[in-house]
Amino acid sequence: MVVMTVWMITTASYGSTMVTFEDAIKRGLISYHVNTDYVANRSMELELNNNSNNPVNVQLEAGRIFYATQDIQPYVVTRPSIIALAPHAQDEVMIYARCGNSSAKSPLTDTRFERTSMGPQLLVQALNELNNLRINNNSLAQQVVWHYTNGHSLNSIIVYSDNEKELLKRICDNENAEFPWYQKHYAASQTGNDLDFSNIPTLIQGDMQVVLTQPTNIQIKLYNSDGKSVKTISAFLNQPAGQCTIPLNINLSDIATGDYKIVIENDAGVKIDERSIAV
Amino acid sequence: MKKRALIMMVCFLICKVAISQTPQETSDLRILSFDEWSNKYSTLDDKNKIINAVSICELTIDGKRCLDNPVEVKLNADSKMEFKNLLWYRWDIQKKRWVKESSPKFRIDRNKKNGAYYTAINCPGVYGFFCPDEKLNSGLNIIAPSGCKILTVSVAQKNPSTAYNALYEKPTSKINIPVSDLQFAGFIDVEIIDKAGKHYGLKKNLIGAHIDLRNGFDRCESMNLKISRNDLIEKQNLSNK
Amino acid sequence: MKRQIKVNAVLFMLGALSILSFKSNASDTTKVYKNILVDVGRKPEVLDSAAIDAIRTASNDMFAADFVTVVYSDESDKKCADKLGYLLLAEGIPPSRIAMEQTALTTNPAGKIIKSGQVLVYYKASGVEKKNPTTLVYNPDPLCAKDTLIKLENGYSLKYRICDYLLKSGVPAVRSIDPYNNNEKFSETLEKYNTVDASSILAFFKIEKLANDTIMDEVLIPYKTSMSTKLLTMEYFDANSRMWLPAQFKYPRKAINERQSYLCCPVSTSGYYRIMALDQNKNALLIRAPKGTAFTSASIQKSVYCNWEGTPVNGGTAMLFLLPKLTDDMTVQYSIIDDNGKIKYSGVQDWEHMVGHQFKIKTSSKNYGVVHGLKVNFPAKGYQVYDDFDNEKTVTLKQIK
Repeated sequence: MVVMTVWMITTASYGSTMVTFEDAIKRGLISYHVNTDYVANRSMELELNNNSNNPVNVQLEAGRIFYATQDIQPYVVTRPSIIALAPHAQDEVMIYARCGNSSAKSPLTDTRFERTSMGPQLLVQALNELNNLRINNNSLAQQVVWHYTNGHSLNSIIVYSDNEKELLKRICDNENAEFPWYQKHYAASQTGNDLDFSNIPTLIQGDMQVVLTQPTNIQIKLYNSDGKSVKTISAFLNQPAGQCTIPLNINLSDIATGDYKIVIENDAGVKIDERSIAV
Repeated sequence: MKKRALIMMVCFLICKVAISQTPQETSDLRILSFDEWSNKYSTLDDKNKIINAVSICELTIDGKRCLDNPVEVKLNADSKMEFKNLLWYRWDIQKKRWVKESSPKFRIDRNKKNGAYYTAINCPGVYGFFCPDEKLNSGLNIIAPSGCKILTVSVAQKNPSTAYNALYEKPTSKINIPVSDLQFAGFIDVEIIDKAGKHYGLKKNLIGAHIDLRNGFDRCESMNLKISRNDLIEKQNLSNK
Repeated sequence: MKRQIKVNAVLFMLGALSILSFKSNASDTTKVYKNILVDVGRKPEVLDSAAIDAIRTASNDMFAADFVTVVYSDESDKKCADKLGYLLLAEGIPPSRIAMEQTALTTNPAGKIIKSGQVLVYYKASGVEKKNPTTLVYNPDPLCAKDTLIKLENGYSLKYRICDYLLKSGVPAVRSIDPYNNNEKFSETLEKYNTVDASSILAFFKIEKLANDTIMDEVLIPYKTSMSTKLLTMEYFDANSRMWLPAQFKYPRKAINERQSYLCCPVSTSGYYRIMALDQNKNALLIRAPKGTAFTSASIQKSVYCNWEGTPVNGGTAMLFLLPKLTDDMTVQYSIIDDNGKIKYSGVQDWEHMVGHQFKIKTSSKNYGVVHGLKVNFPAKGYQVYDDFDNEKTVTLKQIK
């Protein structure tokens, strides 16, 4: 027999206050300092001081952005946390936060952060969905953040599991956008820091569905914007008639940036279907 | 300090432009039709055994010797294994024979109904899926009319797709070609030279016009094609050959 | 940087929400627990840096778990347990998913024995989800893992996941069709579907999906052992080409929780589907071309929708057919090549008239035909095509190759 209890934070019994970070700052209950220290795959360390005579539980919100003084990426908090502070106590906690500007460099240990504000509503909403779905994929969190802070396309949000697909579906619903038919992968940054964006697309993955009225050989070809065939991606020989799903795995390392069309042709060169992609 | 920053910025921009404007080589995979490949490539492996072509394709590349990212090729085969034990070959230009590449991977799909062979092509050339010839009979003997010798033989047929093209440096009166399964509608031509140096070809080019296939052939049985003078027609212009 | 978290005043209470009893089950390999054992120091309210680092390293994993449980055995270790709880909160684990246990020195689900002076943090790793980028099916709810099975009166079942249709305009519906007697229309025209030979149709149904997208559902058809010797194929009616085309199909499997086996027919789009059985032993038909000719193609039709292609044998000099049943209203169409390379097309006529000569196939023949990829023994009798071709027209091929 074991006694199992679930923790409950109460404010009434012990007189502690549960406040959002926003409120705590506005009311002067706390002061903060952001440091950069790479610990346990994270780099944002938040130092908090309780300026009051009472214990305070500070709720750090997902979607809060901490801006650096120089042209350095801001931190975007991706996972909310609760920091319990005794009266006049100080605490340092590591925060799950991602880079908020893909074109800037990641913070260094001497980077200073001067101000904070909440991010746009859609970003906050997306991060809340991510946490509600208990998704702990930090790369995905980063892709979601860059989608909102830098306008990265929905195709750059890489989802694998059902949970992750559900997140993307909710993001699409929130934006009234169509679920992307392909995913565009980027290389890891050469700096080795996963907060940096490489801007080097590596792979496009997706599925195309076609109906064939007779068995045939089909080829997947890449056409550039001038309508010129650039590359044969793959060939499916002896493809039976009926519905078929054509998986696409396009390695982009030898494909120049631009807009392309993926064309499914039969071996007589007759077009069966086509889709647009942006490399 | 400002100058340094400016230089660095210019370098960064140049790098960025260079990345985004990589000169692009083009590549094209073409699935060859039977007519395209059958008079160019005999379906013989490097051990001189006949192999049955299932699908043949050609990769051409403009700008680079080989591709970093290969063209993936999938050949669907149903679970009843219509295509058994397929092998992946490359046409060796020097040997003029098909040379085995690494074996294609065979995977059964999730429904366990269908399967497929998977392979990939990096370098230009002619490639194909082949299956071994299981009939193992002793091939086709072609016997020239008396006083004649055989110069060239050409056989091409579908289902299964095989082709045999040979030029004999030393013409001979009887040859054996390693073709086992013959089709009535298959193509055959034999170029024959008589003692007078006249060149002849077959009047009729259908295999069925020369061999009775109605009862089929059993294993180890040889097929004979004895050509008579009546089957031949004189060839006037050999310069086109 | 300071690593140590200072002692807080007591901010939390332990709310006894539930008392649960569970035994450890070492043989249950599906339950995978990860744990961190923390030694309580001389100051129980102070965590050492190794413990903090261990929690920080594992917190991302913990975030995905249902619960993160802090276990202690001695009341004197409770302060340390509380401190670990605060750290978990700061690491982003929601308070509703942090559990606190006081347990005797017995084993716990993590399989660890906790002594006095130790606090254990454990969580059940939910397991790595299979990463399949090609599937675009959403599973927003745990209920989605469960299939919905709707049974029809004739024993057919429709299986789908209800959550796949949560945001759609309607759930799919399946209706079986009697192959012997039906008035189904397959297009705007008034043509009726002729079942050809109803006995060869094992299942015939129509599925209607308002949400006509890529969601794959399954129609389950009770499986009979008599089907095992048959060749089974599933076809759907393609309205554009007005043809029956092969569809995806699964072989029988036993349904969960029932002893019944089903033929599993995955369907993703609305339309008509049928499962056909071809008996490879009874209705093999061999048709031989006249001497000096061979087939280039041959097919037997019954109605505009049913068509069987022959398989060439003996170099094309004969065609082998596998038919569900030989009936009088079948017609044959073929083309034959002669040894001059001329192709002769037959018209469409009653098959007995066109291939009237019957002949006995030699028992000594060791040949076999291959139909649908399977070896098939020749039938005892075959039919010879007449030398004169009714309605013939000829085309001379200039080049055979």
